[in-house]
Amino acid sequence: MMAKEDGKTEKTYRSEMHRKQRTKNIAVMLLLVGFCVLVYFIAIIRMGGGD
Amino acid sequence: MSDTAYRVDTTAAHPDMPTAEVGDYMALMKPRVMSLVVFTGLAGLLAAPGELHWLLSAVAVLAIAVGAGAAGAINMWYDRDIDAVMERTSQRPLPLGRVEPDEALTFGVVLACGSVLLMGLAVNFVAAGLLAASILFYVFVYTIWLKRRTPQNIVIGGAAGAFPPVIGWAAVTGTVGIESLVLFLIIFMWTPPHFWALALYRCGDYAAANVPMLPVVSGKRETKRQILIYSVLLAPVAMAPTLLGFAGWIYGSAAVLLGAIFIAGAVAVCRDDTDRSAKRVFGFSIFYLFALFALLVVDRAPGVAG
Repeated sequence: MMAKEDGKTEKTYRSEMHRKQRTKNIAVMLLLVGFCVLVYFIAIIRMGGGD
Repeated sequence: MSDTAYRVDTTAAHPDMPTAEVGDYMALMKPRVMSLVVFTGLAGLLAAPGELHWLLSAVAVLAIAVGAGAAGAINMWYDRDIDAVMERTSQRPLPLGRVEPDEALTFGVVLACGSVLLMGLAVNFVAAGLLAASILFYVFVYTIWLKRRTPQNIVIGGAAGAFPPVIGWAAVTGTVGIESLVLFLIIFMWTPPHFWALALYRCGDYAAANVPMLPVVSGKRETKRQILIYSVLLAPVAMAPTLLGFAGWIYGSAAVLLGAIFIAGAVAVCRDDTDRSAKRVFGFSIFYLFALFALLVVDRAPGVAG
């Protein structure tokens, strides 16, 4: 019984850990995409002589 | 990577491994401090003569915000031992063990380098240089050198927090003028009474962590005297934009009124044996700086308009 409960706790812990990791991965991806878009527009403005 | 290898990897995870969430990384950047930095940086940018494309202005403000956040993260990495002792800071991600120290340091250094590079490439290298200087000053001069050594930590270290309007100004003009130095001086003179008011009612925290804040080293009476001295010195400095002609009389009148309230608050602190007045002055000091810089933007002298 104890081992079963421990197993359940371990499973819950892992699913929680994976959820947090997934959220972090999505946040990093959004930041990188946002950064690329930002650099694109900065380049367009700077090449157009906008300051 | 094979499925088997993946399974082996996850099974090896230790139950005590940090499980930081996105919010923990946000907390590392000291968002409350960041809001004041962003506001004063934006005010410097808007008050400056000249024009900057709206997107580049937004990038400049973003770089200032990220740079300040990076400095905050490195500060939390260095101060994690005393943060764990102090009640006010004990719930930060590092003392709670939610973020690994190495991870916090890497996060801070990468963001610091990124923000300076972004400022340099998108806006100009004067603003980038100033941003780099402010981060280095906060980390090396304030955090590592002064904070644990002298009760003047806040006085000299306060210069780091005074950089944002100068950076904002430089983003538009590409230079550091007398006007932006006046904005620097306003925050520089504002910082000691602001932090000493906080230190008055958090004295025990700082003593427990062996941080030589003024109330710990020289006592509450001397701290209250210093708060009064600095609030009196701050009043004419806050008037300087009007006297130098780059802000109008609406700003000037408000600066006089706000300065008088600040001084009255400091007098009340001197007379009050409880912490009530100190808490009031701390709260008012935040409003004071927000109001002053907001009015500076609203009441920019007509001749300066870009």
